[in-house]
Amino acid sequence: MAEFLPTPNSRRPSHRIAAFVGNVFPLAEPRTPSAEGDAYGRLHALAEALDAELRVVHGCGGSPEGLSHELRARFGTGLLIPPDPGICCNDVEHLRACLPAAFDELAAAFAGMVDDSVPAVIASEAFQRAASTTRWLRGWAPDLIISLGLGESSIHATIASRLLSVPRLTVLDAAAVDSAPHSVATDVHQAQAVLVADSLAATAVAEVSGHNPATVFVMAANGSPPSELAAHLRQLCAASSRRAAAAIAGAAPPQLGPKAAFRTRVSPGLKLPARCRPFVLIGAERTGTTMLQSMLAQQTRVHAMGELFNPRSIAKDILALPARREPSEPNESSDLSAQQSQRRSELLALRKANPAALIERAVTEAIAAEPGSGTVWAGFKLLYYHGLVDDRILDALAATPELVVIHLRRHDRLARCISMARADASDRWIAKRGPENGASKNAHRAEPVPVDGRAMLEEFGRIEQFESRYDALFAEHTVLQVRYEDLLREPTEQLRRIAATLGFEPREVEPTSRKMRSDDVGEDVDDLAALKDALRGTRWQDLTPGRLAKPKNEP
Amino acid sequence: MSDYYQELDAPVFDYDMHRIAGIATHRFRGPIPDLDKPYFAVVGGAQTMGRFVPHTYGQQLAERIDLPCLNLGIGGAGPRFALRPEILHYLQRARFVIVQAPAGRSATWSLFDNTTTGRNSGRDVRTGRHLQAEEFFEELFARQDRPLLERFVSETRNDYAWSMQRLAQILQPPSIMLWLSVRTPDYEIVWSRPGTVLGPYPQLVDRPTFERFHEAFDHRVMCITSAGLPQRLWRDAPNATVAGTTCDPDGQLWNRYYPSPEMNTAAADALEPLCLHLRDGQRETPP
Repeated sequence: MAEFLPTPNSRRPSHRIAAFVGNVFPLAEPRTPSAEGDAYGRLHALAEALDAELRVVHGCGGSPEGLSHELRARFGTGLLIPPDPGICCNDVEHLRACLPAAFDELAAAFAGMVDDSVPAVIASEAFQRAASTTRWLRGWAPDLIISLGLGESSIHATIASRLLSVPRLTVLDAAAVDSAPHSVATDVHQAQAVLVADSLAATAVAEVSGHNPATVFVMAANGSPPSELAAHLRQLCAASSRRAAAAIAGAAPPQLGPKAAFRTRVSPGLKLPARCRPFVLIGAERTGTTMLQSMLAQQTRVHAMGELFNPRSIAKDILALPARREPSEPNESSDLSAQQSQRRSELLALRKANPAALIERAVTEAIAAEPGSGTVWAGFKLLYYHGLVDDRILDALAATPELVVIHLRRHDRLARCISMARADASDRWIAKRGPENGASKNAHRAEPVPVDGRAMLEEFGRIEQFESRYDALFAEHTVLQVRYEDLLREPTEQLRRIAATLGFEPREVEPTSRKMRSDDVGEDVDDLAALKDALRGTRWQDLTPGRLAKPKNEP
Repeated sequence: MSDYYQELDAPVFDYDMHRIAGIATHRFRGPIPDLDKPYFAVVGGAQTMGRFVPHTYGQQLAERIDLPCLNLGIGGAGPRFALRPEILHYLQRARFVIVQAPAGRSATWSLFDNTTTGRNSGRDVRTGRHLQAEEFFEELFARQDRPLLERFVSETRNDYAWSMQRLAQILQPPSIMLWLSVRTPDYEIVWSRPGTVLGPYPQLVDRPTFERFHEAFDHRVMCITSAGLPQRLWRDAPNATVAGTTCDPDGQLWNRYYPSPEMNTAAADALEPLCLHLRDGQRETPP
């Protein structure tokens, strides 16, 4: 899913508009004869008048079960984001680090509005979700933000608009103006233009908010926006408008675009020995990363290290790095043991203090262990959520242009979730191969897994969000996409592909781990009917046992 | 938490726990007065609930000023606990309210949200997981991330001060802020020594934080003493572990943390003149 990257060979409109609407607002065709359809119609008409690409942003604070049919079809797309606490929190930290002055000012303003402390506002789920949407939009880089109505969509629009210095149009219907004048005053105060239903509402809005009447516009009788609004918005959309607005606030406008959105700090990149060819394996859990890591680790002059930044390992001071070497003489044992203990302490401290330096040291040690002066390939495994642990990890990787990214994805998303649920329940994440004909030493016979359809739906959306972010983060790197299903079916061929990209001579090997379950998903789910019901109306609704659970629009 | 203490301390203490109408989540230490008649309220942490104390300062005051006491003290409570609507319901009906300055660790900051509970349990913002504050702190301190620690301290103090100010503003009856501790508000963090970050009870509350809220209350009473500590408790199995106590090798348990019976009496002594005044419907500080 290329949320942020331009589609090749397509003409890009002059501007981008992000329109915030509520959760229950149905997505309808522009000319559907309903109030909601009219609103969408107006948005599309406005976008057309401005030669703008329109993206409708739905907050997703509630359960996906509460979404309308049309919204369920969009669930899991970039702008109908299931709220993941880890992702949201990381997004807040990103905005705080990158836009400190704007962030502090906004948090203080919201604390005043909701009458709570600043830390409580930042910790609140509503603010966290809004920050996540803002970071996503930072990557998409809109020129204008539109909000329809009041409520959560307005809050999200306010946060995004203020943090990103993107001008904003508020659209209010008569009911909103009549019923919530205080909210109108607060909301309108944040906007650079207001569109209301009639002239009475325009007067009311100007009175309660003190807004400049010249920027309060009235819809035409047929509900369409007036032509003078389009002219005003065209001015707002101009890049100079952002710079002017930011200059008034005393700061440069924040950078927008994927690079700005998904990197937090300017990093010098990894400093690696010249003969090193670095790589990283990224993917979600249960996508074959361990299997591929084991295959690479068995290659000549290739060092494929484990999960250097697994939060569980960090919490327990476990380090996925091999010991330097075993003692060759009995009397070496105690000295070497002391040295290894010292080394381990240093590495653990380094991981906390400077993740990039840990990677550099691990790679340097790996290279030093190889005789001669030839190329050495060194890399490690980074699951998606490991990148949330510390932004410095991804910042350093993204700033290393020679890094090759091997991105694993599992197209059968349901099978992946089942595998996750089973591994989580049993806390068995890896099945080792035994010596007898490759069969596992641990026969893994299990009951069907109880599956929560809503949780599964959210997991699908969460993984797609991760995929998009990592695609955007490494858009300028050499990225090798590897499908888990292909890796299982033809491991030698996939290894050959990777070897050709990285530049080493592959040798055929057996992975040291194996797949833990059968391919028949139907055996694994204890209530397939309930699961299908949860997925109905979504992009994964065509799931049947054994069929790949991938969205309709994916090849 | 109070029920948890009751369970731990059952060999020796009966805290006479009761439910109060409208508060489903906790029980409180009795005796519960007739809430249709005048009473005064005390609210705070386990120090007010009276762990290891047969006769709490609230109860002693009630006897001295002849006005029943509603003890809303609960283990782990922070300032937001008193802001919960069901707790405020009873505070607002009291003749006057004594707010014991609670622990600063029971507060919200940007990675730990206790706004719903108001106690030392809450939501890890990063994971959505609910856990005890102490567990969260262990993980936080283990990261050895000084900037993050400093942020934790700063934001927690910010939220604490805000919450105490808010409580003082909301309370309609005359309010007394009670500082009951072995220390004054003055303490310094030595960042190279993690044990100094939280500090002695009330954790994290330092002088600048104290100055931000104490004047918002109608009255302030400082009771700074360590009389009666360490308090000899009961004898348990050798090297027993009973939360909140220390144990000698021979099984003798000691309280070195919660206000002793003597400290409770000292608090009652310090509060009595003012409470007599307020009992009679006066708001201003007595001469």
